[in-house]
Amino acid sequence: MAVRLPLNFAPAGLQADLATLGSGEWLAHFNTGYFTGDWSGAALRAVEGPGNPMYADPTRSDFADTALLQQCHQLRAVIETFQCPLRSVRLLRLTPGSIIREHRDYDLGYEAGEVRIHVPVVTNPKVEFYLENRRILMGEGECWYLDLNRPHRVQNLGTTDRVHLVIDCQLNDWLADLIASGTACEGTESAYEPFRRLVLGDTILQDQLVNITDHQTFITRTVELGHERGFQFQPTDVDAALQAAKRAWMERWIV
Amino acid sequence: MNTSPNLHDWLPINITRPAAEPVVEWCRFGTRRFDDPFFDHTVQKAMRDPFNLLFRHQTPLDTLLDRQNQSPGLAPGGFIFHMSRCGSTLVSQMLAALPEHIVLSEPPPLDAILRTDRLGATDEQRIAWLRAWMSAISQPRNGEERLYVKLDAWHTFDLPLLREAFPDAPWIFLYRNPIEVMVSAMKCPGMHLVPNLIDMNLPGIAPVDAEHMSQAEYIARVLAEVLRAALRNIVPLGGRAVDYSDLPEAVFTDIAPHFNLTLTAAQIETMKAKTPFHAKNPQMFFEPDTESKQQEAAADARALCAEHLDPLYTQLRAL
Repeated sequence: MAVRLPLNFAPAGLQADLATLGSGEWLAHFNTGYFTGDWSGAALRAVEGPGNPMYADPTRSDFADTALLQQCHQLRAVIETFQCPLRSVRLLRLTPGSIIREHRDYDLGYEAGEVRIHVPVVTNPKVEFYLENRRILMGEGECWYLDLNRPHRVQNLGTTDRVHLVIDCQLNDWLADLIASGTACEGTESAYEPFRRLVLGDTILQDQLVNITDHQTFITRTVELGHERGFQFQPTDVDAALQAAKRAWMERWIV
Repeated sequence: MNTSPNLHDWLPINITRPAAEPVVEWCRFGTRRFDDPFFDHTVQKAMRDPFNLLFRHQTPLDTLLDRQNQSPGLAPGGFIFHMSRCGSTLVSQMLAALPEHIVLSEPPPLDAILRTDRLGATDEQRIAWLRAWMSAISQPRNGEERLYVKLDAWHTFDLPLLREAFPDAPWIFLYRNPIEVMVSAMKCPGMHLVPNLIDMNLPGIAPVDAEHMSQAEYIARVLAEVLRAALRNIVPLGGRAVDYSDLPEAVFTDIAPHFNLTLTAAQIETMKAKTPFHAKNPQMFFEPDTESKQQEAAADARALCAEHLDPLYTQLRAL
């Protein structure tokens, strides 16, 4: 579930704040098993004391504005728009060529009252964000609610940074109304899907894949065959399609 | 879904059960045999391969009819109906031991086609789809010559329709001393022995009554309906009743002749090699458990058996 909320912020102001951040403000994301490349963040609201200020600790409630937020007036204005209790607030940066592998954020959930809002500050057309293997295009200054309890992944295939303002909220009536008045977005298929359709109708291509039992070998060979025929997709796209197919197969009796 | 794919080499391994239009899923199965205790075990194994996860044709049910016209498969050489927990998996595994045989053991797509009556399908449509599915799934891929099908226990209720669909195929009904079946089922009940778990044509028990019965009573009453359905059809529809206590020898003395199956000494040896093992779990050695099951039977299970099942068991033995 991805919902574009009826809130828009001027990207230029947000980007001006971003430009004031020194390189020392960025900390590598704590969850190093999830990504390749550079995924880092700057804390605008965080728990105090020892530990990684980037970690949106689900067991804590004592989040407080950081000194950094005081210098970011435009970002602060965005945050103050939210008339609900706020937990962690961060800028998250994914540099060119970096990939966040598919994962689920189990501590988030609408039913549990833990809701994550994304506001893209700077992005590029070659950023691919997938939720349940459907690509969601999020533009600068837009505001999105995403059910990140479901499988999702990001790859920045462009040449510039992707930085999102990520606001963790506690659901209240105001936020529930905001989400209800938003526009649900179905997303679009991944770059792998056209090649998948080609293979499904092409016995000769099938013959090159049908007997490969090892998943990594299968993914590598698929990417090779795709590139030979001019399809541009990533190993992660094939992997995510496999994971989605596995889920769909296991859930096939659930109507 | 609108263009007809080339289905040479593809098998209809799954039929989805959505609220409206069922979808046939076709999988490139290569030379993989259905030699696991259940059809779905083989499908699950196939589905570990990345190709099968990503590449399945999806078509409407009527595509089965086109496929049947293009490439008719084997005609079924025998059906195994049964009351569950009575050696049916042993029989199907013995038949599957021969490479000349295709054996489909409790295939879910067949059940899905039977249940399309819930979506408004006529008997004529169901019969056409059953024949077409059987034809498409039984394409010989290793030179197989004969096809056998073990049904789900609750398909005994669908006997007349299945006979109409496949009038030339011989069929047997496997049964066992009911108290032994009850003891086994109470430990680990089959899907049809849990109230309202699956959709089936269960006669004689209203769903609302089922909720108020003890587990033992429900199991006894459903088993009784299965036996009644078998008894009702066995003479008019030319079936043969086979008692668990005569297994595994009855496979050679009774079932094979009824299925017009002539076996060489070497084939009999190959089939017998399956019998020392517990058919559903090859790791577990098979032990005849008649005596231990009889001893475990609680008093209420015995009383329910005497009331609902023993008279039917006596009638079956007298056939």
